[in-house]
Amino acid sequence: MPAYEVGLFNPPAPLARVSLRNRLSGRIVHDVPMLIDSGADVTLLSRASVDGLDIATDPNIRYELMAFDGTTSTAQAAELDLIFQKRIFRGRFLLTHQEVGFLGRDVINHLSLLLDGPGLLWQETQRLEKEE
Amino acid sequence: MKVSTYEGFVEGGQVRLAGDVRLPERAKVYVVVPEEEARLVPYVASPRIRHPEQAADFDKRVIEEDNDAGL
Repeated sequence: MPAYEVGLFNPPAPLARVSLRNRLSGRIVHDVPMLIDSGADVTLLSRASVDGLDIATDPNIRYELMAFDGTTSTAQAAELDLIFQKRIFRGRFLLTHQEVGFLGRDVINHLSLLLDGPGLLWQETQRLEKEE
Repeated sequence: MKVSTYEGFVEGGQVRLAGDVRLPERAKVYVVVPEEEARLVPYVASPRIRHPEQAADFDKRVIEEDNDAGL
C-alpha cells in the first residue's frame, strides 16, 4: 500500500509513483513522484521527468494557470502516456518546472482512491454506492 | 578568498555546470541566482485552468493495461 510522503511535504501528503511513456518511441521513465491533488484541475508533470522521453513540445501552445491566490502563470503541454494503477492515461499533459508533479482531476476522477490520513497510506478501492 | 564564476543551470532540481567545467568531488560552491530567473519558476499548488473551456483539451483516453497489446 503506498505511503504518504513525509520528507517533501508537511503535513504529509499522498504521493503516487507513475510511469511516463513516449507513445511514438516507447521510451519510458518509471517511478515519477506525483502529488495526488484533488484541487488541481489537470495534471502537471515535472519537466525534468518528461525531458528524458524526448517528446517535442510546441512552444507556441501554452495554457494559463491560476494559483489559489489568483496569481497566474503559463505552462507548455506534451502528448504522452501516463501509466498508473494498471491503466494508461493517454492525452495531453501540462509541464511544470517544479520537482514534483500533480496528479489532477483529469486523472484521479477515473479512480476510486481511499486516503487514510491517520495511517499515512493510500490505496485504490472499490467504487462507492450512491446513497438514494 | 579567490572566487571563480561559472555559468550553469538547474535541471531536475540539481545545478549543472555549462560546458566542460569539472569541479572536484564535494567541492564547496556558492550559487548566485539572478532575481529575474528566480521569478520565472512560480510554485503553483492546486493549479486551476484560467480558461475552463480548455479543460476539454486534457480529457484522457483510459486504457486498461491488460488491453495494452500493440502499443
